[in-house]
Amino acid sequence: MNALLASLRRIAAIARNTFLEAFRQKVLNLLLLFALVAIGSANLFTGFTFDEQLKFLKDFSFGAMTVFGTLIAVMGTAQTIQGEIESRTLQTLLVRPVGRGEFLLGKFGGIALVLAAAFALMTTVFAGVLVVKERQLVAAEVATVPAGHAVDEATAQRIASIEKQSRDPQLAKALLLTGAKTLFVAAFALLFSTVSTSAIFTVSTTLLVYLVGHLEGIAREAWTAGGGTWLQQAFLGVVSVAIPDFGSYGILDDVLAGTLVPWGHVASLLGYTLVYLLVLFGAARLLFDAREL
Amino acid sequence: MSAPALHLQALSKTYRLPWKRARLRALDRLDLEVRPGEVFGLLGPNGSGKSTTLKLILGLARPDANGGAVRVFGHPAGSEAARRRIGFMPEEPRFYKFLHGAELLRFHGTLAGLAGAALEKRIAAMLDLVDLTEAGKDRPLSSYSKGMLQRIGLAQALLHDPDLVILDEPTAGVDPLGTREIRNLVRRLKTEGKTVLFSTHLLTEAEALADRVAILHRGRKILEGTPDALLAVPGGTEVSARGLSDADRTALAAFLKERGAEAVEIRPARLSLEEVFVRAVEGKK
Repeated sequence: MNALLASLRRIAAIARNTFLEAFRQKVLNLLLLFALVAIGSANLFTGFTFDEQLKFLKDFSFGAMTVFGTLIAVMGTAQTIQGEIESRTLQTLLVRPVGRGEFLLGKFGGIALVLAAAFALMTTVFAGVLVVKERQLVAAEVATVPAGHAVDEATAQRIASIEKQSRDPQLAKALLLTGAKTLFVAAFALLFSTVSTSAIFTVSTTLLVYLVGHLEGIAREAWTAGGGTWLQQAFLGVVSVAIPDFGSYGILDDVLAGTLVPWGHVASLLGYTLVYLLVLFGAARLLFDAREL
Repeated sequence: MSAPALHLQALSKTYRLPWKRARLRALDRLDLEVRPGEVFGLLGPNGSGKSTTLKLILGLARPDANGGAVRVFGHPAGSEAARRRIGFMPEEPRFYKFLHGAELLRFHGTLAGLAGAALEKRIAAMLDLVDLTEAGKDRPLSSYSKGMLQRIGLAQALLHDPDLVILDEPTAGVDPLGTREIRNLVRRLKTEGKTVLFSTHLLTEAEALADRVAILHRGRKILEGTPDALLAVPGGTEVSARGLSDADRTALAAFLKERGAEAVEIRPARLSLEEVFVRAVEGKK
Protein backbone atom coordinates (compact mmCIF):
# COMPACT_ATOMS: atom_id res chain seq x y z
CA MET A 1 0.00 0.00 0.00
CA ASN A 2 2.83 2.37 0.92
CA ALA A 3 4.62 1.48 -2.31
CA LEU A 4 1.48 2.26 -4.29
CA LEU A 5 1.06 5.58 -2.49
CA ALA A 6 4.71 6.48 -3.13
CA SER A 7 4.29 5.56 -6.79
CA LEU A 8 1.17 7.73 -7.08
CA ARG A 9 3.05 10.60 -5.45
CA ARG A 10 5.83 10.36 -8.02
CA ILE A 11 3.34 10.20 -10.89
CA ALA A 12 1.47 13.21 -9.49
CA ALA A 13 4.72 15.20 -9.14
CA ILE A 14 5.67 14.51 -12.77
CA ALA A 15 2.12 15.31 -13.96
CA ARG A 16 2.10 18.60 -12.06
CA ASN A 17 5.47 19.56 -13.47
CA THR A 18 4.38 18.67 -17.00
CA PHE A 19 1.24 20.77 -16.60
CA LEU A 20 3.15 23.81 -15.33
CA GLU A 21 5.79 23.48 -18.02
CA ALA A 22 3.23 23.11 -20.83
CA PHE A 23 1.56 26.39 -19.96
CA ARG A 24 4.90 28.12 -20.35
CA GLN A 25 5.25 26.95 -23.93
CA LYS A 26 4.46 29.76 -26.34
CA VAL A 27 3.13 27.41 -29.03
CA LEU A 28 0.53 25.85 -26.76
CA ASN A 29 -0.55 29.22 -25.39
CA LEU A 30 -0.91 30.56 -28.92
CA LEU A 31 -2.98 27.56 -29.98
CA LEU A 32 -5.25 28.04 -27.01
CA LEU A 33 -5.54 31.74 -27.70
CA PHE A 34 -6.47 31.06 -31.35
CA ALA A 35 -9.08 28.56 -30.20
CA LEU A 36 -10.64 31.04 -27.77
CA VAL A 37 -10.65 33.82 -30.38
CA ALA A 38 -12.17 31.48 -32.98
CA ILE A 39 -14.94 30.35 -30.63
CA GLY A 40 -15.53 33.89 -29.42
CA SER A 41 -15.81 35.18 -32.98
CA ALA A 42 -18.43 32.57 -33.91
CA ASN A 43 -21.02 35.00 -32.55
CA LEU A 44 -20.20 37.52 -35.27
CA PHE A 45 -21.79 35.49 -38.05
CA THR A 46 -25.34 36.77 -38.22
CA GLY A 47 -26.34 36.40 -41.84
CA PHE A 48 -28.48 33.33 -41.23
CA THR A 49 -31.84 32.45 -39.74
CA PHE A 50 -31.82 31.92 -35.94
CA ASP A 51 -31.84 28.18 -36.48
CA GLU A 52 -28.84 28.34 -38.80
CA GLN A 53 -27.03 30.81 -36.54
CA LEU A 54 -27.17 28.46 -33.56
CA LYS A 55 -26.21 25.45 -35.67
CA PHE A 56 -23.31 27.35 -37.19
CA LEU A 57 -22.13 28.56 -33.79
CA LYS A 58 -22.11 25.02 -32.39
CA ASP A 59 -20.58 23.50 -35.50
CA PHE A 60 -17.87 26.15 -35.74
CA SER A 61 -17.06 26.06 -32.01
CA PHE A 62 -16.85 22.27 -31.89
CA GLY A 63 -14.70 22.34 -35.02
CA ALA A 64 -12.34 24.81 -33.31
CA MET A 65 -12.29 22.73 -30.12
CA THR A 66 -11.48 19.57 -32.09
CA VAL A 67 -8.76 21.11 -34.24
CA PHE A 68 -7.04 23.09 -31.50
CA GLY A 69 -7.58 20.39 -28.86
CA THR A 70 -5.94 17.86 -31.19
CA LEU A 71 -3.03 20.17 -31.96
CA ILE A 72 -2.49 20.90 -28.27
CA ALA A 73 -2.60 17.16 -27.48
CA VAL A 74 -0.17 16.19 -30.24
CA MET A 75 2.30 19.05 -29.92
CA GLY A 76 2.17 19.15 -26.14
CA THR A 77 2.88 15.43 -25.79
CA ALA A 78 5.56 15.35 -28.48
CA GLN A 79 7.34 18.36 -27.01
CA THR A 80 7.19 17.31 -23.37
CA ILE A 81 8.80 13.88 -23.93
CA GLN A 82 11.29 14.95 -26.60
CA GLY A 83 12.20 18.04 -24.58
CA GLU A 84 13.09 15.89 -21.56
CA ILE A 85 15.26 13.62 -23.72
CA GLU A 86 17.02 16.43 -25.58
CA SER A 87 17.70 18.55 -22.51
CA ARG A 88 18.77 15.42 -20.61
CA THR A 89 16.51 16.31 -17.69
CA LEU A 90 15.14 12.80 -18.20
CA GLN A 91 18.44 11.33 -17.03
CA THR A 92 18.23 13.03 -13.65
CA LEU A 93 14.63 11.80 -13.31
CA LEU A 94 15.23 8.19 -14.24
CA VAL A 95 18.23 7.75 -11.97
CA ARG A 96 15.77 8.34 -9.14
CA PRO A 97 13.59 5.41 -8.08
CA VAL A 98 11.13 6.38 -10.82
CA GLY A 99 9.90 3.62 -13.11
CA ARG A 100 9.70 4.36 -16.81
CA GLY A 101 6.02 3.47 -16.68
CA GLU A 102 5.55 6.01 -13.88
CA PHE A 103 7.30 8.62 -15.96
CA LEU A 104 5.03 7.98 -18.94
CA LEU A 105 1.92 7.96 -16.76
CA GLY A 106 2.99 11.23 -15.16
CA LYS A 107 3.60 12.81 -18.55
CA PHE A 108 0.26 11.58 -19.87
CA GLY A 109 -1.46 12.76 -16.69
CA GLY A 110 0.10 16.21 -17.13
CA ILE A 111 -1.08 16.43 -20.74
CA ALA A 112 -4.54 15.24 -19.67
CA LEU A 113 -4.59 18.12 -17.17
CA VAL A 114 -3.52 20.55 -19.88
CA LEU A 115 -6.32 19.29 -22.13
CA ALA A 116 -8.82 19.47 -19.26
CA ALA A 117 -7.82 23.09 -18.58
CA ALA A 118 -7.91 23.95 -22.30
CA PHE A 119 -11.35 22.36 -22.72
CA ALA A 120 -12.63 24.06 -19.57
CA LEU A 121 -11.57 27.43 -21.01
CA MET A 122 -12.92 26.70 -24.50
CA THR A 123 -16.20 25.39 -23.06
CA THR A 124 -16.57 28.47 -20.87
CA VAL A 125 -16.10 30.77 -23.86
CA PHE A 126 -18.42 28.59 -25.96
CA ALA A 127 -21.10 28.66 -23.26
CA GLY A 128 -20.73 32.42 -22.93
CA VAL A 129 -21.07 32.92 -26.68
CA LEU A 130 -24.08 30.61 -26.73
CA VAL A 131 -25.80 32.55 -23.94
CA VAL A 132 -25.12 35.86 -25.69
CA LYS A 133 -26.43 34.47 -28.98
CA GLU A 134 -29.55 33.10 -27.29
CA ARG A 135 -30.26 36.48 -25.72
CA GLN A 136 -29.71 38.29 -29.01
CA LEU A 137 -32.02 35.94 -30.88
CA VAL A 138 -34.71 36.03 -28.19
CA ALA A 139 -34.49 39.83 -28.07
CA ALA A 140 -34.83 39.94 -31.87
CA GLU A 141 -37.95 37.76 -31.69
CA VAL A 142 -39.49 39.87 -28.92
CA ALA A 143 -38.75 43.01 -30.95
CA THR A 144 -41.02 41.70 -33.73
CA VAL A 145 -43.99 41.90 -31.34
CA PRO A 146 -45.68 45.34 -31.55
CA ALA A 147 -45.44 47.36 -28.36
CA GLY A 148 -48.28 46.74 -25.93
CA HIS A 149 -49.14 43.39 -27.53
CA ALA A 150 -48.67 40.02 -25.92
CA VAL A 151 -46.20 37.58 -27.51
CA ASP A 152 -48.14 35.55 -30.04
CA GLU A 153 -48.00 31.77 -30.15
CA ALA A 154 -45.73 31.55 -33.20
CA THR A 155 -43.15 33.87 -31.64
CA ALA A 156 -43.38 32.02 -28.33
CA GLN A 157 -42.71 28.78 -30.19
CA ARG A 158 -39.69 30.27 -31.94
CA ILE A 159 -38.36 31.56 -28.60
CA ALA A 160 -38.87 28.14 -27.04
CA SER A 161 -37.07 26.57 -30.01
CA ILE A 162 -34.12 28.96 -29.61
CA GLU A 163 -33.86 28.15 -25.89
CA LYS A 164 -34.16 24.42 -26.55
CA GLN A 165 -31.41 24.50 -29.15
CA SER A 166 -29.00 26.61 -27.14
CA ARG A 167 -29.51 24.60 -23.96
CA ASP A 168 -29.37 21.19 -25.59
CA PRO A 169 -28.02 18.69 -22.99
CA GLN A 170 -26.77 16.55 -25.84
CA LEU A 171 -23.96 19.07 -26.29
CA ALA A 172 -22.41 17.64 -23.13
CA LYS A 173 -22.16 14.23 -24.85
CA ALA A 174 -20.51 15.75 -27.92
CA LEU A 175 -18.10 17.64 -25.68
CA LEU A 176 -17.25 14.52 -23.69
CA LEU A 177 -16.46 12.57 -26.86
CA THR A 178 -14.43 15.42 -28.35
CA GLY A 179 -12.34 15.46 -25.16
CA ALA A 180 -11.96 11.68 -25.23
CA LYS A 181 -10.81 11.81 -28.85
CA THR A 182 -8.08 14.36 -28.10
CA LEU A 183 -6.91 12.22 -25.16
CA PHE A 184 -6.81 9.28 -27.54
CA VAL A 185 -4.64 11.27 -29.95
CA ALA A 186 -2.34 12.29 -27.07
CA ALA A 187 -1.88 8.58 -26.24
CA PHE A 188 -0.76 7.91 -29.81
CA ALA A 189 1.69 10.82 -29.58
CA LEU A 190 2.99 9.32 -26.31
CA LEU A 191 3.51 5.96 -28.02
CA PHE A 192 5.39 7.46 -30.95
CA SER A 193 7.51 9.71 -28.78
CA THR A 194 8.94 6.68 -26.95
CA VAL A 195 10.77 5.64 -30.13
CA SER A 196 11.05 8.96 -31.90
CA THR A 197 14.21 11.04 -32.04
CA SER A 198 12.44 14.28 -32.92
CA ALA A 199 9.22 16.05 -32.01
CA ILE A 200 8.45 16.61 -35.71
CA PHE A 201 8.43 12.86 -36.36
CA THR A 202 6.05 12.31 -33.44
CA VAL A 203 3.72 15.11 -34.57
CA SER A 204 3.62 13.99 -38.20
CA THR A 205 3.08 10.27 -37.47
CA THR A 206 0.37 11.04 -34.93
CA LEU A 207 -1.44 13.36 -37.32
CA LEU A 208 -1.19 10.66 -40.00
CA VAL A 209 -2.84 8.16 -37.67
CA TYR A 210 -5.46 10.79 -36.86
CA LEU A 211 -6.29 11.25 -40.54
CA VAL A 212 -6.31 7.51 -41.28
CA GLY A 213 -8.47 7.02 -38.17
CA HIS A 214 -11.16 9.18 -39.75
CA LEU A 215 -11.14 6.92 -42.81
CA GLU A 216 -11.09 3.73 -40.76
CA GLY A 217 -14.84 3.20 -41.23
CA ILE A 218 -14.43 3.15 -45.02
CA ALA A 219 -11.43 0.82 -44.77
CA ARG A 220 -13.35 -1.56 -42.50
CA GLU A 221 -16.31 -1.68 -44.88
CA ALA A 222 -14.05 -2.42 -47.83
CA TRP A 223 -12.21 -5.07 -45.82
CA THR A 224 -15.37 -6.87 -44.73
CA ALA A 225 -16.81 -6.64 -48.25
CA GLY A 226 -13.74 -8.49 -49.55
CA GLY A 227 -12.36 -8.25 -53.07
CA GLY A 228 -9.14 -6.71 -54.35
CA THR A 229 -5.69 -8.24 -54.20
CA TRP A 230 -4.36 -9.96 -51.10
CA LEU A 231 -2.08 -6.97 -50.54
CA GLN A 232 -5.02 -4.57 -50.56
CA GLN A 233 -6.93 -6.87 -48.21
CA ALA A 234 -3.94 -7.12 -45.88
CA PHE A 235 -3.52 -3.34 -45.84
CA LEU A 236 -7.22 -2.76 -45.17
CA GLY A 237 -7.13 -5.43 -42.46
CA VAL A 238 -4.21 -3.78 -40.69
CA VAL A 239 -5.88 -0.35 -40.86
CA SER A 240 -9.19 -1.78 -39.60
CA VAL A 241 -7.62 -3.65 -36.69
CA ALA A 242 -4.76 -1.39 -35.59
CA ILE A 243 -6.16 2.10 -36.20
CA PRO A 244 -9.07 3.29 -34.08
CA ASP A 245 -12.24 4.59 -35.65
CA PHE A 246 -12.01 8.30 -34.91
CA GLY A 247 -14.98 8.97 -37.16
CA SER A 248 -17.36 7.37 -34.66
CA TYR A 249 -16.60 10.15 -32.13
CA GLY A 250 -18.25 12.76 -34.34
CA ILE A 251 -21.79 12.76 -32.99
CA LEU A 252 -22.25 16.51 -33.45
CA ASP A 253 -24.13 16.12 -36.74
CA ASP A 254 -26.69 13.91 -34.95
CA VAL A 255 -26.89 16.40 -32.09
CA LEU A 256 -27.42 19.30 -34.48
CA ALA A 257 -30.06 17.34 -36.38
CA GLY A 258 -31.88 16.76 -33.07
CA THR A 259 -31.35 12.99 -33.19
CA LEU A 260 -31.09 11.51 -29.73
CA VAL A 261 -27.68 9.99 -29.05
CA PRO A 262 -28.17 7.44 -26.26
CA TRP A 263 -25.84 7.62 -23.24
CA GLY A 264 -25.16 3.94 -23.84
CA HIS A 265 -23.49 4.83 -27.14
CA VAL A 266 -21.39 7.51 -25.43
CA ALA A 267 -20.43 5.08 -22.65
CA SER A 268 -19.44 2.38 -25.13
CA LEU A 269 -17.20 4.87 -26.98
CA LEU A 270 -15.63 5.96 -23.69
CA GLY A 271 -15.04 2.29 -22.82
CA TYR A 272 -13.51 1.74 -26.27
CA THR A 273 -11.22 4.74 -25.61
CA LEU A 274 -10.19 3.38 -22.22
CA VAL A 275 -9.32 -0.07 -23.56
CA TYR A 276 -7.36 1.45 -26.43
CA LEU A 277 -5.54 3.80 -24.03
CA LEU A 278 -4.47 0.83 -21.90
CA VAL A 279 -3.18 -1.01 -24.98
CA LEU A 280 -1.33 2.09 -26.23
CA PHE A 281 0.14 2.74 -22.80
CA GLY A 282 1.29 -0.88 -22.48
CA ALA A 283 2.99 -0.68 -25.87
CA ALA A 284 4.54 2.69 -25.02
CA ARG A 285 5.94 1.30 -21.81
CA LEU A 286 7.47 -1.75 -23.53
CA LEU A 287 9.12 0.43 -26.15
CA PHE A 288 10.35 2.98 -23.62
CA ASP A 289 11.75 0.25 -21.35
CA ALA A 290 13.83 -0.95 -24.26
CA ARG A 291 15.10 2.52 -25.13
CA GLU A 292 18.59 3.51 -24.05
CA LEU A 293 19.12 7.11 -23.00
CA MET B 1 33.12 -7.77 4.52
CA SER B 2 30.84 -5.14 2.97
CA ALA B 3 30.05 -5.17 -0.77
CA PRO B 4 32.08 -2.80 -2.93
CA ALA B 5 30.33 0.45 -3.73
CA LEU B 6 30.79 -0.36 -7.38
CA HIS B 7 31.76 -3.53 -9.10
CA LEU B 8 32.14 -3.57 -12.86
CA GLN B 9 32.99 -6.91 -14.35
CA ALA B 10 34.08 -7.36 -17.97
CA LEU B 11 31.71 -4.57 -18.95
CA SER B 12 31.24 -4.13 -22.67
CA LYS B 13 29.00 -1.88 -24.68
CA THR B 14 28.59 -1.63 -28.43
CA TYR B 15 26.47 0.97 -30.20
CA ARG B 16 24.95 0.34 -33.58
CA LEU B 17 25.36 3.41 -35.74
CA PRO B 18 22.04 4.53 -37.20
CA TRP B 19 21.43 3.67 -40.87
CA LYS B 20 24.76 1.90 -41.06
CA ARG B 21 25.93 -1.62 -40.53
CA ALA B 22 28.93 -0.37 -38.60
CA ARG B 23 29.14 -0.78 -34.87
CA LEU B 24 31.03 1.28 -32.36
CA ARG B 25 32.68 -0.50 -29.47
CA ALA B 26 32.31 2.13 -26.73
CA LEU B 27 33.49 -0.04 -23.85
CA ASP B 28 35.61 -3.16 -23.97
CA ARG B 29 35.65 -5.61 -21.04
CA LEU B 30 36.09 -3.00 -18.34
CA ASP B 31 36.85 -4.30 -14.85
CA LEU B 32 36.64 -1.82 -12.02
CA GLU B 33 36.01 -1.86 -8.31
CA VAL B 34 35.34 1.19 -6.15
CA ARG B 35 35.44 0.72 -2.41
CA PRO B 36 32.98 2.38 -0.01
CA GLY B 37 34.22 5.80 1.13
CA GLU B 38 36.61 6.15 -1.79
CA VAL B 39 36.85 9.11 -4.19
CA PHE B 40 37.43 7.58 -7.60
CA GLY B 41 38.26 9.46 -10.79
CA LEU B 42 37.41 8.16 -14.22
CA LEU B 43 39.76 9.84 -16.66
CA GLY B 44 40.01 9.88 -20.37
CA PRO B 45 39.80 12.02 -23.46
CA ASN B 46 36.48 12.67 -25.20
CA GLY B 47 35.07 9.45 -26.63
CA SER B 48 37.05 7.23 -24.28
CA GLY B 49 33.96 5.59 -22.77
CA LYS B 50 33.54 7.60 -19.55
CA SER B 51 29.94 8.67 -20.22
CA THR B 52 29.00 5.18 -21.41
CA THR B 53 30.42 3.73 -18.19
CA LEU B 54 28.37 6.18 -16.11
CA LYS B 55 25.20 5.40 -18.11
CA LEU B 56 25.68 1.68 -17.51
CA ILE B 57 26.22 2.27 -13.78
CA LEU B 58 23.09 4.44 -13.64
CA GLY B 59 20.99 1.91 -15.56
CA LEU B 60 20.27 4.35 -18.39
CA ALA B 61 21.88 1.95 -20.86
CA ARG B 62 22.39 -1.81 -20.82
CA PRO B 63 25.58 -3.78 -21.42
CA ASP B 64 25.86 -6.00 -24.50
CA ALA B 65 24.48 -9.50 -24.28
CA ASN B 66 27.22 -11.39 -22.39
CA GLY B 67 28.77 -7.96 -21.94
CA GLY B 68 29.44 -8.22 -18.22
CA ALA B 69 27.62 -6.71 -15.28
CA VAL B 70 27.53 -3.75 -12.90
CA ARG B 71 26.64 -4.00 -9.25
CA VAL B 72 26.05 -1.04 -6.96
CA PHE B 73 26.52 -1.99 -3.29
CA GLY B 74 25.72 -5.52 -4.41
CA HIS B 75 22.55 -4.58 -6.32
CA PRO B 76 22.25 -4.83 -10.10
CA ALA B 77 22.67 -1.47 -11.83
CA GLY B 78 19.35 0.13 -12.69
CA SER B 79 17.45 -1.73 -9.97
CA GLU B 80 15.40 0.39 -7.60
CA ALA B 81 17.62 -0.64 -4.68
CA ALA B 82 20.69 0.56 -6.59
CA ARG B 83 19.09 3.82 -7.68
CA ARG B 84 18.04 4.66 -4.13
CA ARG B 85 21.69 4.72 -3.10
CA ILE B 86 22.93 6.86 -5.97
CA GLY B 87 22.99 10.64 -6.35
CA PHE B 88 23.84 11.87 -9.84
CA MET B 89 24.89 15.21 -11.24
CA PRO B 90 25.04 15.26 -15.05
CA GLU B 91 27.54 17.22 -17.09
CA GLU B 92 26.31 20.79 -17.53
CA PRO B 93 23.10 20.11 -15.61
CA ARG B 94 19.94 21.46 -17.22
CA PHE B 95 16.70 21.65 -15.32
CA TYR B 96 13.18 23.02 -15.71
CA LYS B 97 13.91 26.70 -16.17
CA PHE B 98 10.63 27.95 -14.73
CA LEU B 99 11.20 26.38 -11.31
CA HIS B 100 13.00 28.07 -8.43
CA GLY B 101 15.90 26.25 -6.83
CA ALA B 102 13.78 25.15 -3.87
CA GLU B 103 10.96 24.01 -6.18
CA LEU B 104 13.39 21.90 -8.19
CA LEU B 105 14.65 20.26 -5.02
CA ARG B 106 11.05 19.70 -3.84
CA PHE B 107 10.25 17.97 -7.13
CA HIS B 108 13.33 15.74 -6.97
CA GLY B 109 12.79 15.08 -3.27
CA THR B 110 9.29 13.82 -3.99
CA LEU B 111 10.64 11.51 -6.69
CA ALA B 112 13.24 10.26 -4.22
CA GLY B 113 10.50 9.40 -1.70
CA LEU B 114 10.95 12.32 0.70
CA ALA B 115 7.95 14.26 1.95
CA GLY B 116 6.68 16.79 4.49
CA ALA B 117 8.90 18.40 7.11
CA ALA B 118 11.80 16.02 6.42
CA LEU B 119 11.87 17.13 2.80
CA GLU B 120 11.69 20.83 3.66
CA LYS B 121 14.52 20.41 6.15
CA ARG B 122 16.69 18.69 3.54
CA ILE B 123 15.91 21.39 0.97
CA ALA B 124 17.00 24.14 3.37
CA ALA B 125 20.15 22.21 4.29
CA MET B 126 21.10 21.56 0.65
CA LEU B 127 20.51 25.18 -0.42
CA ASP B 128 22.68 26.26 2.48
CA LEU B 129 25.36 23.71 1.57
CA VAL B 130 25.68 25.04 -1.99
CA ASP B 131 25.25 28.65 -0.89
CA LEU B 132 21.97 29.22 -2.74
CA THR B 133 19.67 29.93 0.18
CA GLU B 134 18.61 33.34 -1.13
CA ALA B 135 18.59 32.62 -4.86
CA GLY B 136 16.87 29.30 -4.25
CA LYS B 137 13.80 30.94 -2.76
CA ASP B 138 12.52 33.16 -5.51
CA ARG B 139 14.74 33.14 -8.57
CA PRO B 140 13.81 30.92 -11.51
CA LEU B 141 16.56 28.64 -12.75
CA SER B 142 16.53 30.48 -16.09
CA SER B 143 18.27 33.36 -14.32
CA TYR B 144 21.03 31.20 -12.76
CA SER B 145 24.65 31.42 -13.92
CA LYS B 146 26.46 28.29 -15.07
CA GLY B 147 28.18 27.95 -11.70
CA MET B 148 24.86 28.31 -9.86
CA LEU B 149 23.30 25.62 -12.06
CA GLN B 150 26.22 23.37 -11.26
CA ARG B 151 25.64 23.99 -7.55
CA ILE B 152 21.90 23.37 -7.66
CA GLY B 153 22.72 20.22 -9.67
CA LEU B 154 24.96 19.11 -6.86
CA ALA B 155 22.25 19.92 -4.31
CA GLN B 156 19.70 17.74 -6.14
CA ALA B 157 22.26 14.92 -6.34
CA LEU B 158 22.85 15.03 -2.56
CA LEU B 159 19.24 15.70 -1.56
CA HIS B 160 18.32 12.17 -0.50
CA ASP B 161 21.65 11.60 1.28
CA PRO B 162 22.95 8.97 -1.15
CA ASP B 163 25.84 6.63 -0.35
CA LEU B 164 27.32 6.88 -3.83
CA VAL B 165 27.62 10.27 -5.54
CA ILE B 166 28.31 10.22 -9.27
CA LEU B 167 29.52 13.45 -10.84
CA ASP B 168 29.88 13.72 -14.61
CA GLU B 169 32.55 16.34 -15.39
CA PRO B 170 31.71 18.27 -12.20
CA THR B 171 33.93 21.26 -12.93
CA ALA B 172 33.44 21.54 -16.69
CA GLY B 173 32.91 25.19 -17.55
CA VAL B 174 33.13 26.33 -13.92
CA ASP B 175 35.50 29.16 -12.92
CA PRO B 176 38.41 28.44 -10.55
CA LEU B 177 36.47 29.66 -7.48
CA GLY B 178 33.53 27.42 -8.31
CA THR B 179 35.93 24.59 -8.99
CA ARG B 180 37.46 25.03 -5.57
CA GLU B 181 34.03 25.00 -3.92
CA ILE B 182 33.14 21.77 -5.68
CA ARG B 183 36.45 20.22 -4.68
CA ASN B 184 35.85 21.22 -1.07
CA LEU B 185 32.40 19.70 -1.23
CA VAL B 186 33.79 16.43 -2.56
CA ARG B 187 36.35 16.37 0.24
CA ARG B 188 33.56 16.99 2.73
CA LEU B 189 31.57 14.11 1.25
CA LYS B 190 34.57 11.88 1.74
CA THR B 191 34.85 12.81 5.42
CA GLU B 192 31.16 11.91 5.75
CA GLY B 193 31.98 8.44 4.43
CA LYS B 194 30.35 8.86 1.03
CA THR B 195 31.71 7.20 -2.06
CA VAL B 196 32.31 9.57 -4.94
CA LEU B 197 32.83 8.60 -8.57
CA PHE B 198 33.58 11.41 -10.97
CA SER B 199 34.51 11.55 -14.61
CA THR B 200 36.78 14.18 -16.03
CA HIS B 201 39.15 14.89 -18.85
CA LEU B 202 40.96 17.44 -16.67
CA LEU B 203 43.93 15.65 -15.18
CA THR B 204 44.52 18.29 -12.50
CA GLU B 205 41.01 17.61 -11.27
CA ALA B 206 41.71 13.95 -10.74
CA GLU B 207 45.05 14.69 -9.13
CA ALA B 208 43.47 17.12 -6.68
CA LEU B 209 40.53 14.96 -5.66
CA ALA B 210 40.86 11.27 -6.29
CA ASP B 211 42.08 8.53 -3.97
CA ARG B 212 42.38 6.37 -7.06
CA VAL B 213 41.94 6.90 -10.75
CA ALA B 214 41.42 4.81 -13.86
CA ILE B 215 42.36 6.08 -17.28
CA LEU B 216 40.21 4.98 -20.20
CA HIS B 217 41.16 5.16 -23.84
CA ARG B 218 38.98 3.95 -26.72
CA GLY B 219 36.80 2.00 -24.32
CA ARG B 220 39.63 0.22 -22.56
CA LYS B 221 41.21 0.76 -19.18
CA ILE B 222 44.86 1.50 -19.77
CA LEU B 223 45.93 2.55 -16.25
CA GLU B 224 44.62 2.31 -12.71
CA GLY B 225 46.06 3.34 -9.36
CA THR B 226 46.51 6.13 -6.85
CA PRO B 227 47.61 9.52 -8.23
CA ASP B 228 50.76 9.31 -6.11
CA ALA B 229 51.72 5.98 -7.61
CA LEU B 230 50.88 7.02 -11.14
CA LEU B 231 52.58 10.42 -10.93
CA ALA B 232 55.74 9.31 -9.12
CA VAL B 233 58.91 9.68 -11.17
CA PRO B 234 61.00 6.55 -10.48
CA GLY B 235 64.18 7.55 -8.66
CA GLY B 236 63.18 11.22 -8.73
CA THR B 237 63.28 13.57 -5.72
CA GLU B 238 61.63 16.94 -5.30
CA VAL B 239 63.08 19.47 -2.86
CA SER B 240 61.17 22.54 -1.75
CA ALA B 241 62.74 25.33 0.30
CA ARG B 242 62.45 29.01 1.20
CA GLY B 243 65.06 31.59 2.00
CA LEU B 244 67.84 30.37 -0.30
CA SER B 245 70.02 32.94 -2.06
CA ASP B 246 71.29 32.53 -5.62
CA ALA B 247 74.65 31.44 -4.22
CA ASP B 248 72.93 28.83 -2.04
CA ARG B 249 71.08 27.48 -5.10
CA THR B 250 74.31 27.21 -7.07
CA ALA B 251 76.01 25.46 -4.16
CA LEU B 252 73.05 23.09 -3.77
CA ALA B 253 73.16 22.18 -7.46
CA ALA B 254 76.89 21.54 -7.24
CA PHE B 255 76.37 19.38 -4.16
CA LEU B 256 73.66 17.30 -5.86
CA LYS B 257 75.80 16.77 -8.95
CA GLU B 258 78.71 15.76 -6.77
CA ARG B 259 76.44 13.12 -5.21
CA GLY B 260 75.69 11.71 -8.64
CA ALA B 261 72.30 13.34 -9.24
CA GLU B 262 71.25 13.69 -12.88
CA ALA B 263 68.97 16.25 -14.54
CA VAL B 264 69.20 18.61 -11.56
CA GLU B 265 66.85 21.54 -11.91
CA ILE B 266 66.76 24.34 -9.35
CA ARG B 267 64.53 27.33 -9.97
CA PRO B 268 62.46 29.87 -8.01
CA ALA B 269 59.24 28.35 -6.61
CA ARG B 270 56.03 29.22 -8.50
CA LEU B 271 52.36 29.14 -7.68
CA SER B 272 49.93 27.70 -10.15
CA LEU B 273 47.91 30.24 -12.12
CA GLU B 274 44.79 28.82 -10.46
CA GLU B 275 46.20 29.60 -7.01
CA VAL B 276 47.10 33.14 -8.08
CA PHE B 277 43.58 33.66 -9.49
CA VAL B 278 41.83 32.37 -6.38
CA ARG B 279 44.02 34.46 -4.06
CA ALA B 280 43.51 37.60 -6.14
CA VAL B 281 39.75 37.25 -6.41
CA GLU B 282 39.31 36.29 -2.77
CA GLY B 283 41.49 39.26 -1.74
CA LYS B 284 38.97 41.56 -3.44
CA LYS B 285 36.00 40.16 -1.52
